[in-house]
Amino acid sequence: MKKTKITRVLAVSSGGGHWVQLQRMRKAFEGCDVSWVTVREGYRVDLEDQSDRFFVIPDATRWNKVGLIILLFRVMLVIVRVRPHAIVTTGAAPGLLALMIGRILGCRTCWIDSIANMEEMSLSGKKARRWASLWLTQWAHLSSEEGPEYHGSVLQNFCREDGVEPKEHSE
Amino acid sequence: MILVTVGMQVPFDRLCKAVDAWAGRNERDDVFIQTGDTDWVPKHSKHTKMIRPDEFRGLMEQADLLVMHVGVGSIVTASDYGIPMLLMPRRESLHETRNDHQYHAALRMRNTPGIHVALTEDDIPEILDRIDWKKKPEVDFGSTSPGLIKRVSDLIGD
Repeated sequence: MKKTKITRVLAVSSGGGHWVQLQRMRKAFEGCDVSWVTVREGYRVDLEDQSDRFFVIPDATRWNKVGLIILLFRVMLVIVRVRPHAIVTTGAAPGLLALMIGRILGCRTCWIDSIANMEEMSLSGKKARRWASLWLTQWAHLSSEEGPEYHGSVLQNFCREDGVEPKEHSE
Repeated sequence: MILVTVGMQVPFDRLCKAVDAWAGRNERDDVFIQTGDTDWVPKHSKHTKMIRPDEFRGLMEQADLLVMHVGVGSIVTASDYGIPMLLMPRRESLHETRNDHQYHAALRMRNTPGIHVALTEDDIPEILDRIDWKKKPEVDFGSTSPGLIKRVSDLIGD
């Protein structure tokens, strides 16, 4: 008989709006074993299921080299402990690092660019392209054949773009 | 209560002054302005330079209208409270920000229910006059698009 394995998902984000958007993706993780990674201990209260694993990493910006190395190490440690099958992130720097390490280790990876990036993909979003198995924007007008893909947003009424039809993507 | 907030970085006096002047003309005593680090002091409104995050949550729960710049991150965060917003973009030409992303975002948001957009400070009084303060509107930017959930969940389950 085939053994059913529970999929382990690592959900990663930095603070503020990134965390709010990651929480709004919760439904996509149903039935999975979810571990959350973010930058503030205070966010633990936002978890719907308090039995989920929760990791806090430093809030380094991408401009600080020492901070970035520490962050890289901490993210790597979490990934080694959780051994996720899939990694999903709404950005920014911690998510990019997690996708890089995850992709090298063979995880399925998903970048959801923040809804804040309405004019173009974020800097980390652009860098995430080659590390993401699924590369998403939340604005229809930013999507294209070559990617990023658009399938909607975490606030569907807010992003209603009148007259803009979402582009279809073939697998 | 009308809550005006400019965030923790650069002040945005142009916005604060317009709302403060309106409060004076209309004898409103329920306007609270977080001004940021500026020398200008509101004449008609309660005010502070900075708000602690826990204080901010408390204020948001009492607010009938949130007035701020067009920071989409702030808007997403504020959307959890379900209060209407009046937004005005910072402009590059006035050295309020490094590019005009806020202005373009503001143009896109003019049709979003629950969001009032002022392109300049001259639009502020007219918009504030138009708001029906007795009626508390339901503001809901909606849940996550099912298509987005499905696409991500398909990837995870592969």
